[in-house]
Amino acid sequence: MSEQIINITWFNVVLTSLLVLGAGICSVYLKLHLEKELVVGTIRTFIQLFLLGYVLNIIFSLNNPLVILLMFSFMILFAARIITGRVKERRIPYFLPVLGSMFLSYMIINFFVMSVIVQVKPWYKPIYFIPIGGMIIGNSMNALSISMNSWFEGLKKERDRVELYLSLGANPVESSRSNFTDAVKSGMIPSINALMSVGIVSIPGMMTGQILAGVDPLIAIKYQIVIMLLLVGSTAISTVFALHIVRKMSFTPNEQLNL
Amino acid sequence: MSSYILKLENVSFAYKAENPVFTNINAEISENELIVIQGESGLGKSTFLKLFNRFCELDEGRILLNDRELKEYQIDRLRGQIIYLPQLPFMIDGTIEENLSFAFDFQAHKEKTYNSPKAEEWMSYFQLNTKLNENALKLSTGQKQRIALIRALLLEPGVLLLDEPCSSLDRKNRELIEKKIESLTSESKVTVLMATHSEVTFGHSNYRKFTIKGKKLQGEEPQEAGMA
Repeated sequence: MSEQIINITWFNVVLTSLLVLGAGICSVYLKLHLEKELVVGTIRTFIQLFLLGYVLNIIFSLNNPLVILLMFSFMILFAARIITGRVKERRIPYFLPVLGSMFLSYMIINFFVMSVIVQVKPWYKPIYFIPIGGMIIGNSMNALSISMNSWFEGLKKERDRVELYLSLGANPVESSRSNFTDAVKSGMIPSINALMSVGIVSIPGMMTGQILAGVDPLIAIKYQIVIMLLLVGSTAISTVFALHIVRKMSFTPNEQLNL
Repeated sequence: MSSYILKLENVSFAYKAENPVFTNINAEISENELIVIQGESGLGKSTFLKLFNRFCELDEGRILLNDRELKEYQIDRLRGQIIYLPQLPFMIDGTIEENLSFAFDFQAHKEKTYNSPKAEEWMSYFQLNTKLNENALKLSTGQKQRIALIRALLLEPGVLLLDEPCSSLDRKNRELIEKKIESLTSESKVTVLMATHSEVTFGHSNYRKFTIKGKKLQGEEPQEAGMA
């Protein structure tokens, strides 16, 4: 396992673009109109990952907790912006509260994993903190946008029922209890499904990466197990946290639906 | 303790400041009274009802329930006391009994318990020949309207706000429901405020009529002139 990882040449990386060219030909032939997206997407992948490689190199060499936290915050900020793009509701200004709840829950979870589970010293060691943090953010970002959409759509669809409950003396929590649980569940199901299928249907990316980098698969699986469980936990915590705030914002101070 | 259950003092309300719905309304409503609020569509009958359960918030003035301002009540408790029924009765997906009992789980009603025989009594009062375990979604609109009334009455509110309860009903159902509403105030301790755009079939001495005109509320009888 001490074999050095093969460094792919840039020429060969570019050669992979031929596959995208194949996709482009399909798009033209089948009139999918995806050519522009394919070109932009490919260029963005090159630029974004190229920049990430450099930024990570700098951050790893600086090893400064403030810089690492700044990078982590930037990743969360970007994820929160992606969520607002995916959630269809526009009237409720949930961006800042969601950003706050994401930051708080991801910090707590990442700190716990670094210091208690992996026992990295110092806890912010960037080669652990940033990739694991990124996985947490990426996964719960998806869960959060699914949950938020489910919450808003559920409330709009059930407006009559919610208003009936309110008019009969229910408080906002009571009137939207089923919507809240449905929203949390819909966000959590993908990560629970992943628990069921991991190792059978899919070999997860992190484990693949570690194995390619020469790590013993038996060590790699331990990391993967930690990550899988971590993702379920972080998804649940951040979703519940954010939805609590969004629920408050979905009702007026007079306990009326605000949608 | 005053004789009235509800009192409006200089009440004004507007959705948009430049176009008020009501200005400076004063009125007193006694316990067990039946009040009919009439006026053309769009003049604010529903809005007027919604001032009492704070679905609409006053801009000026105050409303008192049993001598206490509405704002002093916890909102869900207030809505447990003053129940608003919308024009179209809404049934949750379940049996009639589930529809009649779900609100007893709310904090606002925690000291009350759902009483099945009482529900049966109200069912026969409203001439409903259905069973409690029937699916509520399969009922006709007239039946649903009566179930919605029973659902509210089982919670023993002090005030019922009925928003056009008969507008979507045929003549027979309308007369039946109006007759039952008329006798409610004498047979139970409930004050009823009912908004309607059409004439009612109530006996003249059994109710008081408020008419919404020119952003004011006009009482039918001369002694109600205080209502501007």
